[in-house]
Amino acid sequence: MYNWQTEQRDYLNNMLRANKFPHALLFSGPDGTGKKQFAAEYAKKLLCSSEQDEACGHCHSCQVFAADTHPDYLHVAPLDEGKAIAVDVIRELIVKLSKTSQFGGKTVAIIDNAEQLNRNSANALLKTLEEPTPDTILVLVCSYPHRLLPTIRSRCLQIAFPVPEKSAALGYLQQQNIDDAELYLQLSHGSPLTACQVAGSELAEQRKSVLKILIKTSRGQAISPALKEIEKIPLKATLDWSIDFCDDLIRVKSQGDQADITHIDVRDVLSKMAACCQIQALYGVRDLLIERKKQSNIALNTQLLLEDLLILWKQAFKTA
Amino acid sequence: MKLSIQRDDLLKPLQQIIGAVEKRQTMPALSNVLIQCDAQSISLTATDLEIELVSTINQMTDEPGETTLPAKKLLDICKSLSDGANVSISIDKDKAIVKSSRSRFSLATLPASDFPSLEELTPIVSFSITQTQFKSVIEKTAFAMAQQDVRYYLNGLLFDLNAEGIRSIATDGHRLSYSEQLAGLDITENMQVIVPRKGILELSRLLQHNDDVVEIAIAKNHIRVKIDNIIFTSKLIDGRFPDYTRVIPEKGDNLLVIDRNEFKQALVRASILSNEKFRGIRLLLNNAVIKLQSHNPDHEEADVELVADYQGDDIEIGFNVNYMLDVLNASSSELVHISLQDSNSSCLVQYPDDEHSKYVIMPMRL
Repeated sequence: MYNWQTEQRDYLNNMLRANKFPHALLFSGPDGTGKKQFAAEYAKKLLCSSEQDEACGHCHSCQVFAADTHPDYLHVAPLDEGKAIAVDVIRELIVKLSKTSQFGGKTVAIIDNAEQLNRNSANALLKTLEEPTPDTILVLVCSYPHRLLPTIRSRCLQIAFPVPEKSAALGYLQQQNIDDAELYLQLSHGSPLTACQVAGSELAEQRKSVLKILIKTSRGQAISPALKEIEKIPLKATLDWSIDFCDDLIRVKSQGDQADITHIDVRDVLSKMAACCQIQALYGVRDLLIERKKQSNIALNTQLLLEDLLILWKQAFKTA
Repeated sequence: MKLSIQRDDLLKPLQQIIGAVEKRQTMPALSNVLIQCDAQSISLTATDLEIELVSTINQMTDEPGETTLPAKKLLDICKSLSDGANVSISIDKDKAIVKSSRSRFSLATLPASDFPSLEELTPIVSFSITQTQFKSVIEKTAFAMAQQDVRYYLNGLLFDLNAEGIRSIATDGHRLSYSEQLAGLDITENMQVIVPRKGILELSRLLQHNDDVVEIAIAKNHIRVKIDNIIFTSKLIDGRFPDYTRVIPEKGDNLLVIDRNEFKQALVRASILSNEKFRGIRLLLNNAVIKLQSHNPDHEEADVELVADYQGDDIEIGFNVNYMLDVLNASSSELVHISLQDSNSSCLVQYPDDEHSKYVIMPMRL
């Protein structure tokens, strides 16, 4: 449990003490704020045989929980990132939830990335979500609650997990020994766990590569060498960082050099780039990028997709 | 931990509990068997989190301790050893060494503390009946349990207990089976529990037809059955079973008495041309002549006639032939009594040699 989650914990604990704990919860909030970790940690506490504010860590329940063999803890998540949660998985969950608990206490089921429930699995879940057997608690974890069926949403008590205060997030990043914590936090829009991920992975390098390509394109470089460069970067990273840069360019364009932007470390470069493009063209690029991101689960021809993107960027820079 | 044991003494208990180890496991610990040794005995535990099977072997051990080993592999090793061989198991760091004459196996272990074994139960009621009695109430009714029904409380077998005896009831909403054993149980309050389908199938596999006593204990969340050296524990279904007494009709005026085997064979013949999905078949009763009719979407028809003892009204009734066949297969009686009201009411099937079992089949509109 992260230290910016004490409010949520206390809120849940109060309901538990008052005997008003709901049977269905929806943890919502942006990616990288530690909702999943909180859900698992709180499930451990709900199952723990001691009645402290947090799981004791040494009772039998906590032991088997740590070994991932807790019989009354059920966990469902999409098999692969971006894949739907199949209806069979939910049906199996429902069967398990109709049985009595093994340790005689509560049964806790967590559904991660609940927005990935497809129409069938979401509908299969409704009956159980509305009226589970006594002592059963269902927790849906979801970064995009508006994508859930309204019938699912209305059956759950929603608990928000907003981006933590900057100081708390920075404190956490410093604990993890991350240099340039502030920049990474900025790049992750304030989500500390995403910041850790960016700092520890190739994402930061890929950001620089994407930026380099954009700079060259803005200076009039031809498409084909740019294509060779951009193909080396994973498509998801290209799209994500391009959207980010595009947003920043729009901000600079509309608010001037002092605009509140994400990529603070490259403000000069962005200002220069912004000077040689039209805001309408940037909106056009952004629309295309969002459209492509939506289609990221469909196997499109990557080369065509990237060419299309580069042409649009090039035209945007030409219009000034 | 260290023990040595005859191969046959280990093989049999392993085979008995292997049913609880599921092939498709999400938790690695569940494909393992928990071995616990104290000075006097060895106990083997397997679970799939729904049912747990514990088998105890009376055997001196060299060094007490506990661990978990891959169940399927241990069983395969024991099977492959020759009769009368001696097996020794000992622990070396995180590996278990299984030795028998000139063969040596080193198996991966997982810590016993990670194994989700059940804690001690606090029984609400406990009683004992003979294996035959218990097996018969299960075998006579289990076929009518629902499969993967959204009404989850139907996906199991209901045991209704009171001081007079034990009743078992199963239904899937279209048919119901009921059987009782008046055993005079040593319990003070009435109780109903629903045991899940999987547990019932495993139980009927474990029970034998003999007069040995089984001890049954029911706790808030579990049922535990002690059969010889095996302890079977299953979770219960957390729900309320429908009131079955309202479903079982009174004996009607129109009683059909017919040879069970003949009737069964006639049904099988007629069913060949019934709709493959709905399995509907029409029964026409007209004095001593019984007619079975079926037809399918290809406009093929079957017409089978039988002679039977029937003095009631003329009735034409449709039903699912599979339901009737299941009921006819549940007994070895010579005659069967089918009592009917009219073509829209459920029929009651009973056997003259078994007063304590009743079967109800809902009619079908054909």
